[in-house]
Amino acid sequence: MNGPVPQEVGRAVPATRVARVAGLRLRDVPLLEIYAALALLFLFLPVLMLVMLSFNSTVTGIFPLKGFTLKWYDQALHNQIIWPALQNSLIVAISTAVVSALLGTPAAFTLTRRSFRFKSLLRGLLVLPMSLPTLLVGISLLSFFATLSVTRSLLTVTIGHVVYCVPYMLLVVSARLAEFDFAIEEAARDLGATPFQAFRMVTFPLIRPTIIGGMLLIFAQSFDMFVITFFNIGAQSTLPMVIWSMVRLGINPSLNALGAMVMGFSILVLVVANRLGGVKLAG
Amino acid sequence: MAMVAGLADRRRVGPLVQLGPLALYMFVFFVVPVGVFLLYSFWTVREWDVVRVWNLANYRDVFSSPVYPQLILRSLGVGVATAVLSVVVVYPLAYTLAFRLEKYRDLILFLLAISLFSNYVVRIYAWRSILSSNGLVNYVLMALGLADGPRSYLMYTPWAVVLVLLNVYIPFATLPIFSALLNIERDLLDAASDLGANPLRTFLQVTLPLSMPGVVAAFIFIFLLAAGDFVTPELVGGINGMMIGNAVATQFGMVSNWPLGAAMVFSTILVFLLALAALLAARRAAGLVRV
Repeated sequence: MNGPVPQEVGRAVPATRVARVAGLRLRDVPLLEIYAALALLFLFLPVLMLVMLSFNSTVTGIFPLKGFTLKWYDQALHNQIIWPALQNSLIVAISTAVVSALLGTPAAFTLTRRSFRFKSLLRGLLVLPMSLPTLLVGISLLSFFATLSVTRSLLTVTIGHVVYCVPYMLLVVSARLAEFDFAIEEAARDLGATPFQAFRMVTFPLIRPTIIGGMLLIFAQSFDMFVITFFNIGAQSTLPMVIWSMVRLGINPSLNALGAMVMGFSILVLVVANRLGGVKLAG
Repeated sequence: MAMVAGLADRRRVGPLVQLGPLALYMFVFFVVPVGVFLLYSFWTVREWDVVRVWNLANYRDVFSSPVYPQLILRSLGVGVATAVLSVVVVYPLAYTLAFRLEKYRDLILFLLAISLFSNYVVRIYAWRSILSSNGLVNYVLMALGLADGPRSYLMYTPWAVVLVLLNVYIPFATLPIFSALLNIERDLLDAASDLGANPLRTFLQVTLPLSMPGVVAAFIFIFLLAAGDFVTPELVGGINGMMIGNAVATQFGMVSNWPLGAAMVFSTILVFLLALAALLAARRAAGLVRV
């Protein structure tokens, strides 16, 4: 009964309206959403493979998958090399996060609240390392330390990590300050607070989640950083270095298990950073 | 008076105290090291020691070698290919993230952050179990009857390097484009459609041009990171996918000819700048001809 009516309407409407109707119908198929899902699947494909293989019981040949096992996790956890490496990774990552926060937070205040000559040039220079190949940052530091006859150690590694990570602190805190209502700070000043008091009792508590979130972000990044570490580490080792040496030695199923555990830990750190809600990388 | 002077002083000193430490840190541990690294490229090695004798021999060695120029060109080629593919692959994702899927936006941004900040080496390594002759791709092809046995043509090629680099740097490409799209004022898009533009025309004439700064930023970002990567070619590139970063890393590792390694890096930068200048000159020339 209703059949012919839309047909007649369809004949009557101009071509552009038909196109729009067709467009609507095309829009019923969520092409973009499907594409986004596929893109994310591609992004996480190697991670899914890693987790899958970490439970696979065969050693030789990857496919087809055989049975479920936890022995690679057991083997990875009984590898004596990983514990000192984990300790070193934690030392470097915590130091990097703390130093980055101490250097980056005050700088973000000046860069968002003051205007001065060459400001955008300076900001560009300060965030430059994050967009350069880590190879360049790592090798430059290596040759710099060698020229000064500085022995390579966890300290030289941390110095390198801060160069690469500090831009993230700058960006995260700047993004927060850009939407911060500084009228509250002025209100505190009007009520008799000194500038330091106003900062300590009003501004800082409000931006603290952002700073802690940024530090966790940097912790995760430093914990995972390989290239800069590779060139600037001395006799000690960090987890990515252990993983690298296992990778170089060839197929080792406990490597998948170790990688999956390290990733699980990083994700946990990032979940906490995200929960604090102050961290925005884009937008 | 004294108080006023004190305030004025604090106003002048404040930024210095806030910005000074970071600026100093970055000068000492970033700008100076890159400068020292540049100096290295003009020094020389004698009996395993770097000697500060100034010469251009390292650059001559790089450009007259049968291998290094090829590696430099391949690195730039892989960089361009990865950057082009990244922008094309990532744009619809960033678009969907900015204009649809508002409900899942935070979750997806979080997923991007996870892959941005975790498991760089292991993720590249995992690609071997996808691309190798007994890996996922071949397994699926064989199951579908599209391949009759294990094949190894996927691994150890420049295209394997491009594919893995594309995968590794997707978050780096998505975020700038997403930001640019998010900052487009919705009123402009409404205006375009009110004036009769269909969705495609609105996209081509309003959305796309306004998002170009993000696209350009993503392109430059990915180009630099991909061309300078050495872990990916090391693990999935083989001999045919080797890049200049591998040769540089070797000079700083086993071979220990740092000046030559430094010269390789700055030769690559030089070739890149010359290519860029030629491109810009050609564009200007084309513009002149048209006028």
